[in-house]
Amino acid sequence: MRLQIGYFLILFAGGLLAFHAPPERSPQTPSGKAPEGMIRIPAGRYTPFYSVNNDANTKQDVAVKSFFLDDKPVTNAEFLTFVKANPQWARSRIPALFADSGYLKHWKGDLEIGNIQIENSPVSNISWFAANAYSKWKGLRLPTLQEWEYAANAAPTGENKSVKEIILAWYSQPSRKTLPVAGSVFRNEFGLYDMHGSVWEWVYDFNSIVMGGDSRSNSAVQRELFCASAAFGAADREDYASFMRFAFRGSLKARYTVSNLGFRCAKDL
Amino acid sequence: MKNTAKIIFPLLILFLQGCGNNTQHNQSRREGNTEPGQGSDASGQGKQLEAIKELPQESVYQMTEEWHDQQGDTIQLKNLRGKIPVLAMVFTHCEFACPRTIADMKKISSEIPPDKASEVIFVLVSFDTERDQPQRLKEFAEMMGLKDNWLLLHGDEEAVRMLSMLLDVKYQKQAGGYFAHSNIVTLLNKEGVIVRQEEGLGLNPGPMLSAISGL
Repeated sequence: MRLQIGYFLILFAGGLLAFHAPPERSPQTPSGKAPEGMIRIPAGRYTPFYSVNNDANTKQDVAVKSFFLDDKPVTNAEFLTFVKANPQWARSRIPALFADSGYLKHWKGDLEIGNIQIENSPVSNISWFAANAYSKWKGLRLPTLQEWEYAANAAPTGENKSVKEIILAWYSQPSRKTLPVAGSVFRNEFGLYDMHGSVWEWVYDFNSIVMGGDSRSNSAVQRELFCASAAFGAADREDYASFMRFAFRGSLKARYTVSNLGFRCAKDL
Repeated sequence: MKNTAKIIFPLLILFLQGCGNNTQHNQSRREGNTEPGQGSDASGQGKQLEAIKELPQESVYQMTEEWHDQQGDTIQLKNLRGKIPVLAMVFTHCEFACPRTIADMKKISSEIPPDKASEVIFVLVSFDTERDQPQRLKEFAEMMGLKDNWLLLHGDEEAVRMLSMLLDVKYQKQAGGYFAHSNIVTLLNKEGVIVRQEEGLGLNPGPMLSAISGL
């Protein structure tokens, strides 16, 4: 009997550990040097579209510390490596708690992308939980909302277009059948590719936009973002491009999957 | 081997705590498995282990992050298996919304039918990873007159963020140690699946109570 209990506990422990994917590698770099495929984003300040203090009269810049960020979104091929190493994240095995039924629906099978054209395109149809698990497995993390917004605000290089123009041109395109290869849309002054123009991206704390103090409900978030008259807190009411991004984030739940929502990873210095 | 022991031992303790919390539930499970026709074949034991191990696909008890309660004990949410949790995310320095949410939960507590009273547990999980340490939670429970059927939990930032994702609670840390957050009371069934969520303050306890009666 004692043996049976012991046996049982070991299996039980195995069950508990199953969802903790062991880190594949922890990029070891001399301090300050970016790991391969990542860019060191310098510390800086920027004005968020939606202010931390939710007060239209005190538009404050937000200070962002230096951090590393993937230069491109995570691709289908990269995500496949993760699923192969952690089969509990395969399409047929992921619990409904962690992803809706659209999870990796564009792949041919559990461990097969099945379309050579999209192997190096950003992975999409993944939930926040999956993006978070991938990041941890790589020894990385998802960028925070502030980090992502700050990094995405940098001007494009080699083009006479502003970030806003790139975004609006992207929004006005009909949705594409396949996503462009990661790194093929545009590069910004930090050296990051495709922060706009290809996929939306999950951020660690996408659920951190709460409108106006602690008495508001989720529905108030939506109402305040969508009611033009109530767009207080917004730094620039004409900033339709950012408005769309924040409204989109506000509509997400962590288990949702969307065909043009991907992610990239970040890391502390 | 030493490493294995290091992993297994804390888990063993966790598991035993889990047993303590829901003795009745596990008891009935064991009885179920000794019935003739169940688990009598060679794979019976395997099935039995599966049955205990496996949670419903939608169960939030699949999250493995650890928490500390107001007594300082370490728990995982799955230790609540077999109970009926009524759960909210709050912080103890909150001056407006959280006391009202707690009042809403107390109201539910006072109207629970006697046959369910021993099964329902009221759980408060704090957003405030810095200040709401177990000792503070204990003092807060005393101050608010929260009895033994209340469980107050402290976790690290990752655990709190993960739970907020699972419950679809929005929150943001603000200057001065305050948190902006949505006010949601969640009812879980005995397997940790979300049965009902009520959003807002000054809740009518009726729908929650009838949902509890059905569990």
